[in-house]
Parts: sequence; C-alpha cells; structure tokens
Amino acid sequence: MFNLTKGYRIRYLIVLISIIFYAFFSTVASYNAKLIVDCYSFSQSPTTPDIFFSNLVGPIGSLLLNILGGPEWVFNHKWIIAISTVVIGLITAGFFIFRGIMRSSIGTGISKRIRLDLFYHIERLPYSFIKTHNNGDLLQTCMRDESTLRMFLVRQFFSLCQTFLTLIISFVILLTLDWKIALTSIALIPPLMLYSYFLIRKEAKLYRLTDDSEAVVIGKIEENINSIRVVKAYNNERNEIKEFKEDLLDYKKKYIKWRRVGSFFFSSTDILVFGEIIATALMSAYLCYVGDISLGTLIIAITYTAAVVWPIREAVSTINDFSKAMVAVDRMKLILDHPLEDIDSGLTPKIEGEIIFDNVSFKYDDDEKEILDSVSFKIRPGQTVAIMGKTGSGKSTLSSLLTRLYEYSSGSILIDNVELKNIQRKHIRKNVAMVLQEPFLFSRSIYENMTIANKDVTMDDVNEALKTADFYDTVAAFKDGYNTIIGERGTTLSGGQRQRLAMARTILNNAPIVIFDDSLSAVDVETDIRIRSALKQRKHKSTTLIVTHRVMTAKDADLIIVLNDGKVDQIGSHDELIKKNGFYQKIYKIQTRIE
Amino acid sequence: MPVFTEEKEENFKRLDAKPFRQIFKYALKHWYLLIVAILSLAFTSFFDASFTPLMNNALVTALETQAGINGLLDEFIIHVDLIFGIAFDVNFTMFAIIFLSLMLGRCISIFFTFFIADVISMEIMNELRLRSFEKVQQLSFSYFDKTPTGWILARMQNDTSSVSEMLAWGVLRICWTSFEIAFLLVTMFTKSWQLTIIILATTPLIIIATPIFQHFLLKFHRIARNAYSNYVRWLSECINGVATIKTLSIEDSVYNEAESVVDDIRKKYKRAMILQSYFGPFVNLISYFTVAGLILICYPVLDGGQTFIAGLVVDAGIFILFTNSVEHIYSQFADFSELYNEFVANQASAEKIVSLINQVPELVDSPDVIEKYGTLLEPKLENYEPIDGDIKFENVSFSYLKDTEVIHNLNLHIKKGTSVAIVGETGSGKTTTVNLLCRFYQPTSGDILIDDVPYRNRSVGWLRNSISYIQQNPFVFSGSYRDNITFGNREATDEEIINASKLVGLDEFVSSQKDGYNTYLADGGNQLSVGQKQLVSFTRAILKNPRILILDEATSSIDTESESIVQNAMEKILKGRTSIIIAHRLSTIVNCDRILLMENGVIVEDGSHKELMMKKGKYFNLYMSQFRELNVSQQIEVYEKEQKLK
Repeated sequence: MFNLTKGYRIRYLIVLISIIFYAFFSTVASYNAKLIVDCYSFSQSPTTPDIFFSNLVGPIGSLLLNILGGPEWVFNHKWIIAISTVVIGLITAGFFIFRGIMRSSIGTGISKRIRLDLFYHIERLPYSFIKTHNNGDLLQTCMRDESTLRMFLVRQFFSLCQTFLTLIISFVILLTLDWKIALTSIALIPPLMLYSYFLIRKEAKLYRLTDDSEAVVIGKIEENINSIRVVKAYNNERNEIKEFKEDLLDYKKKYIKWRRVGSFFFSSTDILVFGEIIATALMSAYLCYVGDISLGTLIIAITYTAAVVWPIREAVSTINDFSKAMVAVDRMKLILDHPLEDIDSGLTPKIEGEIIFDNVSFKYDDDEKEILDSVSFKIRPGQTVAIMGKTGSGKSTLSSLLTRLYEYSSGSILIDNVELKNIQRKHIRKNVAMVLQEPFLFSRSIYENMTIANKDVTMDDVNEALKTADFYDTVAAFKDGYNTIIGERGTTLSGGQRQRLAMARTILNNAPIVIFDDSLSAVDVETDIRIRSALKQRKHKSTTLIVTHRVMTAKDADLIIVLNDGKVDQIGSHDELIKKNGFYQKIYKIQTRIE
Repeated sequence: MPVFTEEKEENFKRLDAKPFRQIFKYALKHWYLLIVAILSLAFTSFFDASFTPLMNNALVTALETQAGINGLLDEFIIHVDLIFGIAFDVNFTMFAIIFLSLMLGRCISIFFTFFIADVISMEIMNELRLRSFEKVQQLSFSYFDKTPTGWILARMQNDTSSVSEMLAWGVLRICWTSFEIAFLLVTMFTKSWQLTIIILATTPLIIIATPIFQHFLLKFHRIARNAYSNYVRWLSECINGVATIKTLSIEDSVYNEAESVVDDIRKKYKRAMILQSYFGPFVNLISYFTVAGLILICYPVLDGGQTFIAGLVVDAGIFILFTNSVEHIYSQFADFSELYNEFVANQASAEKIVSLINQVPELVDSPDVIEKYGTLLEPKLENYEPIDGDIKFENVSFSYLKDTEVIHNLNLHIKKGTSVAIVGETGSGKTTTVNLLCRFYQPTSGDILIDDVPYRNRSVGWLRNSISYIQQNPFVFSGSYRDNITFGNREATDEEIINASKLVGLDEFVSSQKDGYNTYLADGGNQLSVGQKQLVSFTRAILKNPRILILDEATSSIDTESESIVQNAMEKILKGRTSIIIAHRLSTIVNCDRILLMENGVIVEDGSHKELMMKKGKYFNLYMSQFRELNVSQQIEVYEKEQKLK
C-alpha cells in the first residue's frame, strides 16, 4: 500500500505540516479570545497590566502578546485584538484551503495512477487469465476496490493524522496551562477507545448481516424485473410479492438490530465525550474558583478538551476502515501481481505467409482433454485454406494458437521457417490478422473503428477495404456516413454488418496472414461470394485461413482441412475430397441438395 | 480522438414538494416515532443552544466575582438564569449534578433521534420498494416494452434508497436546525438583544452565499460523476474487448486513451474538491469578522465606558456566549441552505419513483370479470372453469402503436391437442400472435376465443393458470431446483415434481447432484448449460399441467449436446397438449402437425411440412435458406430427421 503513495510523499508531508500550522494558528486564535476575557477580568479587580498579563502562561501566549505590542500597549488599545482576530482567521483559513488543495491533488493523482496501473495490467494479462476471470469482477476491482483504497489513503489516513496531531498539540497546550486539567482531559480516553473498538467490531458484524440481507432484496428486485414476463406468464405475481415481503421483513429485522447498536454506540460514546468535557470544565472552574488559574485559562482549557476528545471517536472508526482497505488491496494484487503477457520480446522476422504445423498439440492447463492432437499440415504463402469440422473439433483453437493468444503444448509451428514461440507477440499479431465470428467493435464512429490499429491510412485505403468487405454501400447509406457512431449509444449494426465491418478493419491492415474465423456466418450466400471474389482480386495477396461450415466457401480454397475431435480427419483439395467417402463428401451432398 | 461525449447536464429546477409529500406520507404512518424523535430533537437543541451556553455563562459570571476567594466549594453559589425567566441559585456541587444529568438526558435523546431517523428512512425505503414491486407485478407488457429494465431497476434499487435516506434525515434535520436556531435566538435575546441583532445582521450573507456555493459544488460534482461514468463505460468496453485489443495489437494506443480518460476524471474531481475546500473556511472567516466586530463594540464597555450602542451591558460571560454563538448560528443557517440543495438534488429521483408507483396498468379486467374471478393479486380460484385448449382467432387485428397495425384480420382455429409451428421472418407477427393468445396484449379489434368463450369474459389469471409459456432464453432463478420448478405452483408435491422432471428427462441429472432437488443454483444457474436450463424451464412449464403450451424457441447458438437433449424433451412435453411453437430450429418445424407461415401480420401458407415443401412456395424457400445458415453439425442432424420422415 505504501508503494502507491510514490511521487506523492512530499505532498503528504506538506499536508501534515500544514495540519500542524493549522493547529498552531487555531491555538493562537483561542489565546486571542483569552486576551479579551482577561482584559475584562482585570477591569473588575485592578492591578497593573504587567501582573495581569502574567496570567497568560506559555510561550504562545507571550509571543502573541509581544507581537501585538506588549502588555501595556495592548491593554490601552484593545481594538488591536479585533484586528489580530481577523488576521489569525485569515491565516487559519489560508492553511485550511491550502491543505484542501493539496489533498485533492494527492487524492485525484493517486487515484489516477491506481486506475492506470490496473488498466495497464488488465490489457496485458495473458488471454487465459481474462478467459477464466469474470469481466464483472475485474470491473468491480477497478471501481469499488479502487475507491475504497483511495478513500483510505486520502480521507481516513489524513483524518487519523489530524486527530493525533491535534491530540498531541492540544495536550501539550493543556499541560502548559495546568497539569491537573491536562490529565483530567485525557482520563477517559483509554476506556473510550477500548469501548469504541469492541462496539465498532460488533456493529461491523451486524452491518455485514444487514448488507447481505439488502443484497438479497436488491437481487430479488433485479431477478423479478429481468424475468417479469416469465412471472406474468406463470401467474406468479402473488408469490413474488409474498416472497419479496419476506425478504423485506428479514432486512428490516437485521437493519433495526444493526441501527440499534449503531445508535447506541453513538449516544453511549457521547456520554464519555461529554462527560470528559464537562468534567474538565468543572475541574477548571474549581481551580479558577480557588484561584489557581485565570478565567481566560478556563476558557482555553474547555476549548482544548473538546479538541482532544471529539476526534478520538472518529479515529476508532477509521481504524476499522483500515481492514477494508487491506481487503481492497488484496483484490487488486490479484490483478497487479499476475505475470503479464510478454508482448515485446522475441524475433521480428519479415513474414511472407508460409505456415507449417508439425505434430502440434494443445490442451488447456487445467484440462485433460487434448483440444488439438498432433496436427500437421503445410500452407504456402498466398494460399487460401478452408478449415471445416463439427462444433468443438478445434477449428477456432487453431487461430488462437497462430496469434499466440495461447501457446501450443507440444510440436512445432513454423512461420516462414521461424518457430512461432520465438516471434514477438506484437509482431505476430500485426502480421496475423483475425476476424472473429462475433467481432468486437468499439462504440465509436465507423471510421475510428476502421483505423483503430493503423492511424496512417488514406481515405482511399479505407474505401477500398470497405468495398472489399461489401460494406461500402451500407456505410454510404447511413446519414453520417463514416462518422456514424455504432454500439449501444449509436446505431446498432446487425450481425452481418458487424462481421463485414470487422472484416474491412482487418483487410485494411494488409497482414500477410489473415484468418476468418467463421466470420461470414451471418452474411447471406450472395454477399459471401462477392466478398470472396473481391478478396481474390486484391493486389496484395495474403495467406488466408477460412474457418467455415459452407461447402461453397471451401470449394474454391487451395486446400481443405477437415478436423474431427482435434485431429486432422481429411486434407486435400475439393476435387480430391469429393471423391473420398467421408465427412466432406457427406456435407457436400447435404448442402448441394439445396443450392 | 473523441473518446466519449459529455452527458447532458440536468438543469437545476425549482423545488417541487409534491413528490416528497407523497413519499413522506409513508413516514407519517410511524407518527408516534416521529413525535418521539421531534421531542428528542427539541431537548437536544435546548441542551446545545440554550442550556449549555447559559450554564457556562452563569458559571463564568459567578467566577468573575468569586474567583480566588479560596472558600469552600459549597459556598460557591452560582446564579443560573435560564430562558423563559427560569432563574435559581445553586451551589457548585448541585450545579455539577444538574449539568451531568441533563447531559445524560441529551445522550438518550441522541440515541432516539439517530435510531428513529434510521428506522424511518428504512421504513420509507421498504415501503417504496414494496409499492413499486407490487406495481410492477400489475403493469402490462406494453409498459415494459416502453421502459428499459435498467430504468426500473435504477428506480427501485438506487432511488428508493437515496430518496428515503434524504427524506427521513432531511425532515428531521429541518426540525433540528429550526429548534437550534430558535433556542439560540431565545438564549441570545435573553442576554442582550442589541448584540443579537448585530449578529443576525450578518446572517443574510451566509444564507445567500451558501446556496450559490452549493449550487456550483453540486454542478462540479455532477460533471465529475459524469466523467466517472464515462470512464466506467469505456473501461467495461475495453475489458469486454480485451481479446480484440490483443489481436489488433493496439495496447499502446488504448493505454494512451486510458490516460486521457482517467486524467479527465482527475481534473474534474480535483476542481470539485478544491471548490469544496473553500466552503468551511469561508463560513469561518465570516464568523471571525463578526467576532472582531463584537470585540470592537464591546471593549469600551468592558473597560467600563460607553459604546455607541446606548444601554449595552456586557460582561465576560456574555461576551463568551456571543462569540461562541456566532459560529453556532452560522453553521445552522448554512445547514438550512445545504438541505434545500439536497432536496433539489433528490427531486428528480423522487419524481421518478413516484411516477413508477402511480403508474396505471393498461390491461385490466372489466368490473364484471373481477367480480367473478377476483383480481390478479386476490383471485377467486374456486370460480375458475377448467380449460380444454381449443383456440379461435376471430378477425383479430392488433397494433402496438396507433396507425401501425402488425396483425391484420387474423382468423385461425387451432383444435385442442394439436401442435402448430409458426414460421416467418423477423417482424412477421409470430411473437405478437402468441403474445395476444397469452393476453399479454389484447386485440385492437376482433376476439380470441378459448373453448368458444371470448377470453375477455374471463380473467387474466384464469387464462394464465392454464397456459405455459416457455421463453426463448430459459430463465433460471437463483434458488434450488425445487424453487425453480415450482415457480408458478408452489403447492406442488414432491411426487408431482419428480414426475414432471422424469417426463422432461431432468430427474436423472438433478438426482445425481449432491443435494438433489434442494441443490442451490447460484447466479441464475450459471453453472448449467443452456440445454440444462431449458430443461428446468420445461419442467416448470409441465408442472402446471397446462392445456395450452407455447414455446418461443431459442435462436441463439446452442451447443450440439444441449440441442439433442432439448429436442428429445420437447417431443415428450408437446404430446396431448395444444401447443404453439415459434419455430426457428428446422428439426422442430418438421415434426409439427401443422405449419403456419406468416408474412407482415398475415398467414400466407398453412399446412404440414410435406404439403408445403411440395408446393415449393414461400415456405420451401424459407426452409432452404435457413438450412444454409446452419453449422455442419446441425445440417447433418436435420438431414437425418428429414430422411426419417420420408
């Protein structure tokens, strides 16, 4: 947690110093009040100013008196006290504001850093981590845990510091006035702290119960609303209300229990706090009565006792927040301490597009089953290869391996005779472009989506790519053309439109190897054919892997690979496979029946 | 690159008390608690604003004359001059006892105040949630078509809690602040009316400045919050698109965006926080100036002379009392202004939640029907007639919005016990037809007859008791298998549950679980496959033993294994029931007794699969084109089914 304050430690120190100054000037301010009171007492029982002001014990008092022009002068020009009140007021306000500004700079700055750190990690975590973790949990860590920690670092930490600094300063001042008063003022602090500590723990426990119960209520609302059509179809409204009432009742019971303890904590500690202040006041009054201290000192004593006692109660509840902050840090560590994917090291050879799979196998870390099992084939640069197979046969895994989202467990993949594992991830991903079946598009304009990976393209390039993906006319028909915002806050694209836009985005990158992972599934057959012929006519010819379930798409490929259960079942050209008894022939029969 | 757009700022409106008044009525149910709270507040204010200052004042005055006497404590007599002319002389010991016992009373008052404020805030929240929940159960489908789920959720989850807390505390704080100000004024006037007027003269500054200040503060905070929600939206998009970010290898440019988005929040929050740190010192400064003014006015009097205010009497006690009162009364006035702003800030939420509660359901039974069958929430089950399942649509037309009819003059007779598939493009009126049958909506003209009786002549509850509707996306509730299955029929016996599960083919799977039917399904059954979820929803539907079964079949890709499980179950549950299926899966269509092809709200082809295929018309084309969209596994399955049929 300490590391997070890096770069802000000096500012932290400045805040602490300004707290000390603030406390100092508040002290001076109360001495100021003492001056006037003492002046008055003096006029009641006349002595000389010198003797009179000697009541003003302590270094701060005499310093103030000297700054204002000495006892005699002050005594004869009491208006000076009004001016010093305003001046001291301005100074304390100044420090208060200064402290506020520093605090906001620290708080927002640290918060920015934590957010960026978290994001940097999330972006660079291995794909397997992202796959196995709930997106919602990651988002929660970035939001809730970050805010818990920030609150602690900025608010609770400072209030703790402030409490203890005020406590020390006030106690020292009380000591300079009278040690008996000083001791009385802190007598009840140990029992107060102990009492608060235990009560707060109990309260926190009840709070958790209440919170869980409210979560049930909230959950019930959410479930009911999301399933409202089911509820109505099943005529279950009465039951839902009955169950909801039970949930509310449970919440109510727990809430009342919790608040009873909470309010009791508040008011019972009030007894100690007030008791402390009143005890000190009475004690000082007695001392004043017997003549040990002046009336002015009495006023100061009461002011300071309040300053000592009030913050203690706050401090105890702050200590409780510390454990919350630690839990938040633990959850962040889950993200921050996970090793990152290395995207920057490795070879960056020029890639022509030759791919050789030699006995490649792959399985997930925690799984027994081989997703790919000794797969071997060879693809020459510029070839088009179709990959077919049933659901779960390992087709999509192939593309994840080629982009190094996952590492193959055994065997070897050679790209232009370089072992894939030795190639830099960034480099390979720039050279192996992939279009997914359900492509992800950002909620921005079409143009921004197109150029997201490659900002230095010309408008011609963009048009060209859109035309190739048969999406140009669609875009032109939109009111805002390229600037149409897509996604939840803009135009919603259909599945086929999304696929075509993602395809255009990929084509624009001119990668030597392109993988279409079932990425034309939502496009009708005619468009499919148009896109494929446009792809063929491009000057720049990439090695193309098409994962597909359409024989019509596969037919034109230079090579067709049929996968079954992670193994290569059939391999060859359309003309070869059509003659052999097997999966391809069967599918061909079924599909051509309807063409 | 413009990463995000600013959200429109909600403008400040004038305060409208109406929604708050309606909500506060719920609090008035607990009027006895409110009275206790108000009495407690009155006592607390009396203690803080009158008792303590006046007791202190008495003590100081007494000390002024008697200090340094070195006499016995019991001889130290204090003349206490409380408000309303209550005056008495006590010795020091008595003084301490009175002080401490009233302090105890204050602590008890504080307990009641806090406890009651919290309890009332909870009661209001529960009441709001219950009322909106009940209302939601009664509203018709048309309401949910117009209103996004997220909107309703936000009202019921967030607004209820913020409004109730604001209102309960807000009202009590109004009382508290008023009491404090009243007692302070009485205290101050008791001691010196001249000085009171001087202090009051500066309060308008606070009363005017605070709302302006708070206005900007709220505005800045709102801007900052908007920046934050932009960030959350941006972040969640990036987390969902992390695979794409990786494959496009754009980590660096996205990180640059992160920097600009995050820095945007930093700047906006910083601005709001800095403004906030000016407020406290601002009020303090004004009170310092007033205190300085008091000193200037008072010191000649303290010196035994005369000030420009004739007849002003000041001693040390009064001086202290007034300097302390300055800040006290200022903070009360500032609190008042803050409260006003809080009410304004919560007004939108209050209006929205009230609008939800006051919503009138569109589809309600006629009074005659209610007379006989009861309402949705209080049905007279004994009057429900049994149902056969014969369905007739007679000249049915329907439009969701005026002038855009989606079903045109539909005539249809579905005999009891037959299965009918409705096919057609999106928007052809399939789902609408089924929704009309379930009476989620009512025909704009024409009638739907169940067993030859217009369904409007019987209650909504009667119909839905005998209809089971299975949704496209099976909904599994967080709860046990039993809870899920008995949804809609909580009185079902174990035997009934097991029989229904066996019929569907769920029993084997559930029995193999550790706790059997009591196994808890967390997070809406996330651990189940889509197929298993669908089985749960089938079992739920069957348990009602409905005469009419409606299936809105899933279009979403469902894995091969699940698909065959669901297929098998479906054939079993359709048997012997009137069933209507909005069919997407070709294998389902092929099996139905009768197929209706809809286009633009009209039935264009009607017949069995074989008949329609031979016709080579629209159905033939639709079937063929859908076949092409299937993945190879599905194509093989459908192909084999067709072969069987031949």
